[in-house]
Amino acid sequence: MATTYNNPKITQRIREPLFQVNRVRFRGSRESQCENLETNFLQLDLTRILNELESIDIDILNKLSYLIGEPADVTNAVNLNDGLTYSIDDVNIFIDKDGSVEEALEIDVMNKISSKLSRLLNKIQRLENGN
Amino acid sequence: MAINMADILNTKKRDYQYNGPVESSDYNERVEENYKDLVYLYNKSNIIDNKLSQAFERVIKDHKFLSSAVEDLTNRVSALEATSNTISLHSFSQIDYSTLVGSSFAVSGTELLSFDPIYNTISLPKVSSGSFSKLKFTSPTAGQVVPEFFKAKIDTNFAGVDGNGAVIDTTPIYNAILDAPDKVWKRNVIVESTSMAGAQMMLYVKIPAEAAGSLKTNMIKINPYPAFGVDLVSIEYSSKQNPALADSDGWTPLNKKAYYDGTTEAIGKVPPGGWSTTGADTIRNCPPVAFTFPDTDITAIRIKFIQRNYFTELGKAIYTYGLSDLDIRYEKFLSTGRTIIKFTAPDGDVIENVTNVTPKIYNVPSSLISSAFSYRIIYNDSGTYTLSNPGASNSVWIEVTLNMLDDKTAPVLTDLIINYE
Repeated sequence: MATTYNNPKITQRIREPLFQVNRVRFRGSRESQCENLETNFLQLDLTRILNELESIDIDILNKLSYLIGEPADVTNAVNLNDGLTYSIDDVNIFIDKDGSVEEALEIDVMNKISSKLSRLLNKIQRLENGN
Repeated sequence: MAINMADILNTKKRDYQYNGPVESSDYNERVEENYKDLVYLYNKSNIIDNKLSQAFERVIKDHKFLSSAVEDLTNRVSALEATSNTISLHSFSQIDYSTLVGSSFAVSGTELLSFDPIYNTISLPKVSSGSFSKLKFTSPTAGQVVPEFFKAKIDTNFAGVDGNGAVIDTTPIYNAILDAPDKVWKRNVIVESTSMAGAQMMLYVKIPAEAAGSLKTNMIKINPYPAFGVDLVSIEYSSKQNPALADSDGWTPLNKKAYYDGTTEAIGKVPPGGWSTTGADTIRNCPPVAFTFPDTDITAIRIKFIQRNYFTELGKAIYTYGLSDLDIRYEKFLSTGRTIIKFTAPDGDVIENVTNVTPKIYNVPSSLISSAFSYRIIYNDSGTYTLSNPGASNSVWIEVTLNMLDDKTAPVLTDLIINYE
């Protein structure tokens, strides 16, 4: 799914289960095949819903990672050059540009923004104190 | 509007005994209930997925342009500095050793100073294989893992609202150690009335030496939650074997030599709680901070927090504080290292002469700065890098050398300021 827009066609999609309402069951013969089909459809539907919910769960974590960052490997010295800024695949951004130069869409994680703010606050304090 | 799922589901409980449904009407009713519920769940999942995407789309765009605004502020502060012929370290993109590869000033990979863009510091080169966390480790399969020996305690016997019958809403304390995006240690203190003393607590953390193997420690990293929203009052350590995580353990301020006592600009750069005037070095609205200190045997640490800020909701006051990605580490540093930082004059200006270079290092006393830090100014004279000033330059490069002190302190450079004319 796209990151910077939402496709209305997907938003408006109405989805129907595989499970079918069979109102004639008691009029015909009670066959196991029919019972099993019903149960199988129900099971398939429930599995699909579960998978979709799990997929949303993972999606939430992935999206949070863009904003907050991912856990670092702390076993050895942490490589801090990585993981502070995320590039989102196939998305570019034009800021104050006429369209001739493009930049990959890079997102600074919270720690990096905090870091920049912290540095700025120190410098402003120094300027205020005339140092 | 939140939807109560229990009110929506159509499938009803049935209590058949000994036989199944014998009437088609009951059977039909059940399958229709099931069908409606499945339609509802499918589409509810779809709606949630789309809500998430739309919320994320909004947040990510706002986030991106707020980040751009911070960049803009950086440029404007840089321009303000330029009015007094000063340039400082604004971005780690100024670290520019690659330009000098092939010249006599080239810096080899092993002697290159390390830099930390989260905590805004430059320090000695690190030996990756000899550096490790004392609180957690990374498993290839499970990600970050906190050992079972991890032990922590909170003491709220202080003035203020925390612990005095307040309603506490908290996440597990080991969330303070992990830096997963969905995990933060938060402690919401919900009270009927506020207090001038705010909410106060002391967090005790025992170093799980059983897992870490060694007690030798030289770095602590603290990411308060909310960032820029909590006061950090003190950081102390104990070297007592089997600490009880109580006052009786005997605690020493991490800034035990009271470096830069009373120097306002050092607040936030030295570990709080070591100065002669209690509270003078408190980091108000603390950003993420890291402190490097001489090799020290540490069995436990304790950190005091104060939350003065609060929210109000439904007639109650909510004080929130906590931590994420707390780490206590041993970093193995090499004894010396170099890097090269590029300083460029503002547009329309040139650097004719560098009159002063001032390092900002706060974990080394002023008297030892000259042992820990030295520099050379490199100029580009018609394509040749040289120490001789050609007269007017758009940019100069400062070669910074850091040396470890005798007590094994790795100096941490937090800024470098040059004055020029």
